[in-house]
Formats: sequence, structure tokens, C-alpha cells
Amino acid sequence: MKATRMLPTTLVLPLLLIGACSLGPMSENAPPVDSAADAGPSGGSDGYTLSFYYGPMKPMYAESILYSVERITGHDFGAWDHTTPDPASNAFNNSGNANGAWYPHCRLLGGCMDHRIPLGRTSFLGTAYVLQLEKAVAEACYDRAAFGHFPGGVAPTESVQAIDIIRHQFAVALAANPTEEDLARSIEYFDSHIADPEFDDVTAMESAGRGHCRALMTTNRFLFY
Amino acid sequence: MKRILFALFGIALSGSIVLAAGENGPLNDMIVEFLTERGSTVQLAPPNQLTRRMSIDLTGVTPTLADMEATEAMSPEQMFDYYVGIGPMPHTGGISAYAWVNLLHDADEFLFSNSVQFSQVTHIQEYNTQLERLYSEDWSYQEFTRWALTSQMFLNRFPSGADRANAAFFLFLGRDSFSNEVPAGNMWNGYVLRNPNLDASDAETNPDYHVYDYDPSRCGTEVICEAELWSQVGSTPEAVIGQIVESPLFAEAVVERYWQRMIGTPLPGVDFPVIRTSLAQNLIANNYSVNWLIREIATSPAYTQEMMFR
Repeated sequence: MKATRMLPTTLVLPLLLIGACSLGPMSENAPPVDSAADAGPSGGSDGYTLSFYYGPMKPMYAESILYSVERITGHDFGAWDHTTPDPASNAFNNSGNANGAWYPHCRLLGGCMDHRIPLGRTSFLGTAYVLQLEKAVAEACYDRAAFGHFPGGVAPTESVQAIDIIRHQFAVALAANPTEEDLARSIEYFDSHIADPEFDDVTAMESAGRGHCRALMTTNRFLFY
Repeated sequence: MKRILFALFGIALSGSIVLAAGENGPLNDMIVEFLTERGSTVQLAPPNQLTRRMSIDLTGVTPTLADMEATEAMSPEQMFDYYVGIGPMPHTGGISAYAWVNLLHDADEFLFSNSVQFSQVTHIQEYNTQLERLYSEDWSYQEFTRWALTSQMFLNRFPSGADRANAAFFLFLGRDSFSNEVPAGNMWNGYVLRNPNLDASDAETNPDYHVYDYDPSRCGTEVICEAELWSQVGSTPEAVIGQIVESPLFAEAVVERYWQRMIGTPLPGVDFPVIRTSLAQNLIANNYSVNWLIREIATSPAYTQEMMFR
């Protein structure tokens, strides 16, 4: 298994994309905002005016990320019930309503608050956040018993093409059809991974599909909505 | 008209439709006016983008392929009703996904904020149950607040009247007691706040420790019972709580809270206060229904605009 091979790319890409999200509108359709006095109710320099112009743009809550990844892949991270007070009392002995990897993933992604630990929900997306997202998504996408991220929810057969997996994963993860540019990049990814599979205990197509799943769900297009 | 527009969206997903004033309700007109004044337009999001946004905001998870297919030709109003109508999910503990995801936000704002740390678990459970009524039974937010400010959890957390006043201002008026708009007041004078027969070490474990027992016979001799807020003297803390929940600031704070929740940014305020005041007035007219408020915001152009990565 060569699980670390794609790490630099998948780490750097989300960081770049998340960083880019704070830079302001780059679209050619964007209205002019360089005149601070005219840009909005607060002068346009505080960021919220821009979001108001362009529709809501929020990062998913940690809980939403984990439940969504579970729903997409079929992987089970464990349990956490935020509606039950004091779940943290169970978190450290891995029992009750807090078991599995749920709490460590969720807490380090800024969520899973409780009424004992005086730490609010974190919204800063830094290196530690991206590393944790990487870890959680890799755990789900590489779970050999999880096939939700493949067409039909089963292991890809010989008749399944790379483009079928790509379209399925874009649909379930991003609710979108891949653009021509997306398709070209994803097919390039599949071609290179099928030629040199990352995992040797599954078919080359499945190996590439699991890697593609991991790459897709660590992008800003998955994280922001 | 809008249904036709959204049907067209289903055919041409990448197309963009510019919304003009007059096509929708008053809030929509205000938002279109806000943007038009600033040289912008409202470009509605394509259905696949809007369905993902609504699914995450209203159920807490990304949509399934079946959800996307079902909502493809829906208007924002239909899409909103679709996701609110989804029942319990595996992760929601038996309550609807819509109530669950709102409780997640409420937990941040009420339960797990600094305001209620170290409260008793039984009190928090009761608070959570009452919060759920806001979404599943369309309980009035005004009545919820009346209950909350006299709840055991609130009294448990704040041992002094001054602390309770500060917390009430912060949680339900969106302002701290240093604001010029909310002069500090002691809202719980005259109340016995703890069971004198129990030791202080019982505070977090014994549900009988904190009591809310108003005894008018003690007024003027042992304690001062008049509670004052906005220069109006109420004879009981309930009267002061009444002043809070009937204040225009209260309705505006609710609007601000839910706008922030759905849009992710504060309401435009200083230069364009009409959105805030209009929503607050309509919230009052709709009996402080937060379900009405969430729907109003989530079907407005501020929410249904196309998202652009930047």
C-alpha cells in the first residue's frame, strides 16, 4: 500500500483553495467592489457585504461533514449525540453516545461542543483542520467495506468505467456534474492511478476510485456550500 | 412565473436568471433594491447548487441522488418544504432532521456557550426539549424566551440577579449590559435563589438546590422586590421579562440570529435598516414563529443567489 504517495497534492490543494476563498471575488461576473464607499452598508471592507452580494458561502459544520461523508461512503465513524448533554464524559472511555473515531475527528474539525469544556466552535481553517479533514475522509474512502461512493453502492465491476465513478462521486459529494475541465483532470488522475495502483488488495479501478473520493472530499467545493 | 423560471433551470443548469423587483414578496423587493442600488443583480442559484445548500442547512447533511432528482424542478419554496418535511434520520435521535440541525445551532448559541456552562445535565435536557418545540410545534419564540428566563437551567447558571440580567440581554436582545440601549437592571430581586437547607457543594448535582420561589411577604423587609428596566419598574421579575420580550430589540435580535444562521453573515444594518425592521415587524405579526422566519429568509434572493467561489 502506498497511502502516502498522494499526500502532498491532497494537502496543498485544499490549503490553496481554502486560502483563495478569503481573497474576495475573482469571477468576471462579480460586481465592482473596489470602491469601498459604494460597496455596501458597511463600506465593503468587512467581507459580509461581498457574501451578501454573492449568496451565502459557509463552511460545513464538523458534524455535517462527518455525517455527510458517512452518508456518501457508507463508512461508520462511530457515535456522538449532541442533543444529550455531557457526551464528553463518554468520549474519553469510548462508550455510550460517544464512541469510535467520531469525537476526535469532530472536535479537531471544530465541532462536537459540550457544556463542560469552555471552548466554542472554531471557524478558523488552518493546517491542523486540513490535516484532520484529510484523515477523516481517508478513513471513510479507504474503508474496504464502504462502497457508497461507487455507482450502485457496490464494488466496481469490469463494466464500470472511470467516468461512471467520476460522475457518481461528483453527484453525491458536490451535487454537481463535472465540468469538462473537471472531467479531464479526474480522468488523468484515474489513468495514472490505474497504471500504478495505490492499493494491491483491490482492483485497480476500485483503488483509483477510493483515491478520487478522498481527493474530491478534501476540496473547498465539498467543504463550502 | 417563478415555477416556470425554475423549470427552465432544470433544462439549462448553467444558465443564470436575473430576478427583478416585483416578482416576489416585500422582502425580495427590498433585497433586489439593496443590490440594484449598488449596481448588482440577483442571479438565482441553479437547482443543484440550491438543493445542496438547503439540504445541508435544513437537514445537516448533503443530499442524496434521490433528493437531487426530486427537487430538480422545484421552486425555492417547494424545495424548502421538501427538506423541512424530511423525518428523522439515523443521526437525529428520533426527531426530524430540520429540528435536529436547528438544535445543533441552538446548542452553540445557548447550551454550550459560556452562558450555561456547568449547568446541571437534567436542566439542559429540559431546555433542549423546550427548544425542540420551537421547530416541531412552531412554538412562539416569545413564549419560549419567557420560559427560558425562568427555567431551572438559567437560574442554575446565574446565581445573582445582575448576572441574570446581563445574560438575558446578551442571549435574547443580542446586546450586553454595557450597551446604551439596555441599561443594566437587577431582574430577580426578591427571589430565593437556592435551597437554604442544602450545601453549596450540591449545586451541580442536586436538582433541588436551585429554586425559583418568589415570596412577596419578604419584600421591603428582607429584600427589594421591584425590578427596573428601561426606567419602568415592574413589581415582579416576570414583568421585567415581559419588557424584554415585547421590546422591538427582541424581535430584531431574533431576526439577526436566524439571518446569521442561514446567510452566514450579519444583516445589513446602518445604511439599509429596512430589511431588519421589516422582518422584525413581520415576525411579530407571525406570532414570533421562527419557522416562518427561517422560511422567509431561505426563500429570499439573499439565500437563493448563486454562490461563486472566490
